[in-house]
Amino acid sequence: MSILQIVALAVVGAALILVIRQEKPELAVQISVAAGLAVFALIAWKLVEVLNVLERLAVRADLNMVFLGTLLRILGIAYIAEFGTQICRDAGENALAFKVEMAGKVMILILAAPIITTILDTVSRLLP
Amino acid sequence: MEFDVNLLFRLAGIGILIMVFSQVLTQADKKEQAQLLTLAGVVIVMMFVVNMIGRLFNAVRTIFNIY
Repeated sequence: MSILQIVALAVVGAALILVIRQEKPELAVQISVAAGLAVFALIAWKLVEVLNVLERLAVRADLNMVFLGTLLRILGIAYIAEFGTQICRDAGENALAFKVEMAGKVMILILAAPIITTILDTVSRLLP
Repeated sequence: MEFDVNLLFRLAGIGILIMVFSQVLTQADKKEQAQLLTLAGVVIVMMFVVNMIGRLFNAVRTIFNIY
């Protein structure tokens, strides 16, 4: 039951951070980052299994594997950008958080541009 | 990505220890030293956390095939 482990870890981490935040907010931010990374480490390899299932489904549906690779890359960028945004927001730097978010969106748009072009090509071929 | 949950408790322990010591130093009218202690604590914790963030980035890179 790793969900119990994760919840226990998060609750204990929240309690510890609450104690430290009163006196040393700068340390509390870093410890909350560490707690978040601990939770991610616990689910990272389960995520690999989910992605394997996704890949097998894509093979069975005869999808172009380039699209799946791009999709996974976009997911990774979204996750990392969200991670950075949350840390900045936790530290009270909303402006910086917004810029990180913006950078993530731009990167995703760059990766998605070929797919959008492909869709537009298909649509224009279908139309007379 | 191997993760030692003990690391979280170690970091929290460092935080609480530094909290207490800096309070003692402040009470003893040694504000500058308390500030330096806080700075040292932040740097020590940051060394651990930066290491972990690097490992997270590597894990995400391998999981999602980002090069």
